[in-house]
Amino acid sequence: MRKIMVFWGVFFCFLLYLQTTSMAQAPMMSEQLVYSLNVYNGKGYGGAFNPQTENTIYFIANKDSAISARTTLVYFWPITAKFMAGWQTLNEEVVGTLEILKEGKLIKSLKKQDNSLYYPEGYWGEISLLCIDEDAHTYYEKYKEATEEYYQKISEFYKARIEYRKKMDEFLEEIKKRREAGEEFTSEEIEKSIPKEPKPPEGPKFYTTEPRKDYVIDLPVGSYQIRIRAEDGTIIQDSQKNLVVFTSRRTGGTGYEIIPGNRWTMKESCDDPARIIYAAGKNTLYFNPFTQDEYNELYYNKLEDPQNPGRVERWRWVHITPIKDVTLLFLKGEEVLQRVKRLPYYVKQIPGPTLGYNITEYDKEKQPYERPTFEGYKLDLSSTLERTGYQINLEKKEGGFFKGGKREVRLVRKENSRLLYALSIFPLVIGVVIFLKRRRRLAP
Amino acid sequence: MKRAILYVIVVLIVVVALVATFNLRSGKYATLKGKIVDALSEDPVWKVNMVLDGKSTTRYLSKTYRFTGIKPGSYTFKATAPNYYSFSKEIKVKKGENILDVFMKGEKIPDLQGIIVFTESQEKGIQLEIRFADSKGEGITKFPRLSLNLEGKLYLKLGSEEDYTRGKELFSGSIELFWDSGAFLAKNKGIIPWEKIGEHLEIEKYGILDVLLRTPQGDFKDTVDDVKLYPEE
Repeated sequence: MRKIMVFWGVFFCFLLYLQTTSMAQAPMMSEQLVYSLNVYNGKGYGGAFNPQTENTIYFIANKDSAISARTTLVYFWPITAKFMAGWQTLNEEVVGTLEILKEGKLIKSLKKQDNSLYYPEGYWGEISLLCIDEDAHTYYEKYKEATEEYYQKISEFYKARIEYRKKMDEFLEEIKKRREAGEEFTSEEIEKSIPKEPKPPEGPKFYTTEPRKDYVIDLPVGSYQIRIRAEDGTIIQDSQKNLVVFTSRRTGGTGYEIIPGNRWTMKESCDDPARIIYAAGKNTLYFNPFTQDEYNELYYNKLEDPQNPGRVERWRWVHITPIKDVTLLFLKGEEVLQRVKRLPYYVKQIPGPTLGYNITEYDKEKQPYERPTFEGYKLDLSSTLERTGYQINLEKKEGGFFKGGKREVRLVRKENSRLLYALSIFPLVIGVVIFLKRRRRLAP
Repeated sequence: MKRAILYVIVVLIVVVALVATFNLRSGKYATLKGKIVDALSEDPVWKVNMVLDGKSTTRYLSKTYRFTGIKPGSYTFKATAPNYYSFSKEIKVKKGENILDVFMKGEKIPDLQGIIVFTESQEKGIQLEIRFADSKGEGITKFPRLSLNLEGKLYLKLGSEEDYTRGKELFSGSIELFWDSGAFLAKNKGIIPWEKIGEHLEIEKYGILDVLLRTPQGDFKDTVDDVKLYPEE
């Protein structure tokens, strides 16, 4: 018996040893060669970094993506369970030539190129373009010129506003004097001679990042390896990575981003035409239709952030460009119940101790200093509507429906909710009955 | 009998697992790792580049390095860093893990043109902070630890703040230097203990300290004319 216990004791100790050796030890702060990425993601460019723990980098095929190797300090951030780069402490360029290999054969040697990101609709806009070499400098210079011009206009605006306030004071003083002298004016007369308030200038609508030097990669679909060869001809340790270049499986789908009116920050999506949109009771939904492409989930997640998880056997739709020139139809069978146009909306927090917000239509004239929070197709759903039989669809400007834009809408309502309470109490009642019965049986 | 078969199976599993883990760890390639530090201070060596078997790696703030995927054999390990003497060693790399600790010897302080000395009167004595200045007059931040020799003469300050003269000599001799890794500019520091200053100290008494620093790049002088001859609170 003792021998058996000793044997199993040793066996479990061995299992424990195996388990501890297989556990990943997260370093607190380590100096690493990492890749800094600026990758094309199907709709624009996104930044990410690839720590040493990730052996593979993912790119979309036949599009320029920028990449560069840096030495930095990497630490594990338990809140997000991801490695982070301490760029401010250490950010040193790794100098050399980037070599691309396919099946062990060198196919490309790349030198660093000047590049910058150009956002034609501004930094928060939906479009971004990678400008290379001369273009990078040209677009950056354009942005710098536009910014300088804006600062000049702002300075002039402040001067004009001081002048306006001065004139306004003089005007009011004059009106007061003339009124005291017995003169009478109509409001139209006053409006005619009142000084005009200067309008603030608008800043540059586009944005360009400062040019930087990166390796610009544009490859067809396939599996590759990359590494950096230093100026002395050596291969830089830890610069070897696998490179997976992929493309979408399907393109040209229509997906919806749905903003619920009662919790606007909790956006949802309905990308699959087979999926049903459920709306609870009286509600307002804001729809944002997009064209969408379907990518491998693992590849796309890793493209967005190499530390993201994902499954290679799954696929996901990715919203590409917003569909703007259409009318959203709310239908019951063939009957059109609502025709909705795309409008800008502004979310205004309710001031004071009351929590909440109001979503109002954005008015440029009334809100010259604000920007719309979002744009969308507003659909008000009444509580009197039936539960099923509704659809939304997108009508093109020239007539006909937008391909893949149809979705079924069902309304969920609280009905016979009391019955649910009764059902939930039922096991408790049974328990009480059994308890009482047993107690009575045990009683002397 | 059944029990014996069970024991044999378990023992076999253990042996196979041990062999598998050992093989996975060692593989057919070798790993070389170790410490790479300043020989005198044991601080990290800024921008140290190491070369082995057609591979290279550069370290900035780390005290360790690691080469992986090396074919076992004989190699020349080379390490170079700005302001350090190059290090080279013939090594034999065996399958599995190999360790080589490298201690880099400092060669020079880059673009050293002068020194600026600051003093702080502490509980133990007068602490000297030596900062190196370059040709632009800026402080040098990245330099190796060299063996330096510091000498000083401390006088009692007579006269006003503007118009003063050297009074009685309070201290004369060499000052022991120590290294402060955490400092940004003044990594070389020295201390003159109060017991070596042959004078009863009074509050509001000041001294003049003439400093001479002997370096492999030449001798550098500086004077501090507001040395507090009493510990600051």
